[in-house]
Amino acid sequence: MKRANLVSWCIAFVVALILPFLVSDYWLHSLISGLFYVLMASSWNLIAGYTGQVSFAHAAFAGIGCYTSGILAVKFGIPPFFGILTGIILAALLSLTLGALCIRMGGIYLSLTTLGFSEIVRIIIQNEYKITRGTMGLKVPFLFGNYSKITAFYIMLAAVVLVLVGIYFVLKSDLGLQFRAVQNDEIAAASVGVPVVFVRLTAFVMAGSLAALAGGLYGHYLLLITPHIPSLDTMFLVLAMTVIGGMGTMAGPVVGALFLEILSEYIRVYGEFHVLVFAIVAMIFARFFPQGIVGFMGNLIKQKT
Amino acid sequence: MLLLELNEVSKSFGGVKALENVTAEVQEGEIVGLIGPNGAGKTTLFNVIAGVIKCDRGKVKFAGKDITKYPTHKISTLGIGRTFQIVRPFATMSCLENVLVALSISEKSRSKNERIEKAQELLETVGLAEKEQTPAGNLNLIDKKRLELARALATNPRLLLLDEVIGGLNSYEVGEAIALIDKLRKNFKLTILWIEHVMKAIMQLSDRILVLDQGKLICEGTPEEVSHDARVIRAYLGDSSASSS
Repeated sequence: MKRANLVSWCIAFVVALILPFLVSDYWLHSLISGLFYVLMASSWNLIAGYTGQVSFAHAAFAGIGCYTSGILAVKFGIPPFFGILTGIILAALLSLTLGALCIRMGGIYLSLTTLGFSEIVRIIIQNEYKITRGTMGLKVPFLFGNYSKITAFYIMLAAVVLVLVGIYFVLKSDLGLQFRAVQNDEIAAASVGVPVVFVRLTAFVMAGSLAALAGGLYGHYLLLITPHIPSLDTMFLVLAMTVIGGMGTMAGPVVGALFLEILSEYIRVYGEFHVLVFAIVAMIFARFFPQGIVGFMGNLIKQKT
Repeated sequence: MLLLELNEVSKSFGGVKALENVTAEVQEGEIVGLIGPNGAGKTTLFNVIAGVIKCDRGKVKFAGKDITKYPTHKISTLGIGRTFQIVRPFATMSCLENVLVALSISEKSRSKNERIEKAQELLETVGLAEKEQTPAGNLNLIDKKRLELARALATNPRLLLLDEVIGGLNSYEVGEAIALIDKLRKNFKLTILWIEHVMKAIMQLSDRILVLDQGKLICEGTPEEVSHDARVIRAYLGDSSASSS
């Protein structure tokens, strides 16, 4: 990694460490949500930005993570830590199955199949009232010990750091190189021996598991999980964050997630019109900064030097 | 030793018979030219050998093994490397990374530094040493073809399929390319099956030539024999010129 990049990441980390003591309780909640979206967008970037698979099942896997862990905690009293772990394993198995079914199809068919899967998951959760309490939401315990937003913030931050470092090393490895080769050109990648389906499936399972981790942590912070987490609303928000931040870059999803989360706090006062504002922002970016904030800044720096 | 064996390979696209009962062999160490008019099925034949397209009937054997149903990546690891007529670089990746992708499979056990060294060597062999950090998408066509070659060589092939690597080059570059292919063949102990429209190159370098026309193998022989074969002349120039020549 270039020194300037490393320094920026370190500064961001230090700022994040002291942030809970600088902001109000209200903004702390926003920041925790922001970190959840950082996890979601960064892991979605792994499939969409690095292997070129636009999956719409990401929010569904987050939902599987939080509901698995939530139900285990409520019905069987299992501590959230083990519950989240179970959620991750379940999401990994489901993404393996879903991936095995739709990765060979690729492109738009993969998107459609995952979209269908996502809605199936949401509808099941919404309608299995006895188990999930449907749209009323399921009350779940806090991550551990007594409820504290500051604890939740640091746990989320730790997860974000671990996941980002993990993703960084994956991208640096042979697998990461193969991810990019597959995204660039499947046929050429196969012609030099890259097992295309296997590589794609690996990325798909990784991303699904990370979404479950994000969902699990977030659910036990919110204390009330609703079908909003596995909804397409969440999915498209994650998509917008990744694209606006800059797909296929490490920093892009982080910047995009925090930017949109903070923006949404400011436009909340407009009620339903905030969707309109979001759409306008998305269109402005698609038109003027197609490579996202990070891509745009990168070009700016390159031009100056 | 018999390296590649095609046994009555047929492939249709809808009503078009792209390949019809193609039977041919390539011996180890040979350099075999594959020629034929446009649409004769040459690239389809390459795609069948490389596993990108599965044939409807027939068998493809490589080093005695039936690879007809093998997936592309497995065929590559067995030792068949290829370049594409319409170049397919990993556009957003640097030239070095393009070659490293291939080495990440073929030289799995080697360390990162050893692989980078080997990649640099290969880029130097094809004349891209100075452009190792350039994104492959920014190269001009000739350099993209050089990169295709480096990437194919990085798979450690026993058999190399070259699909019009010379096409589009000027006459000086053709000379260079011929020298390069000759050098590669000797240095890497390669068997080469290549498609080329530049007759000067294919006649000069090939041990043997196969001629395809409308999906059928119409002629096979030394460059000398093939260039005097009436069927070949007819395929290229049409009936009347064959009788008048």
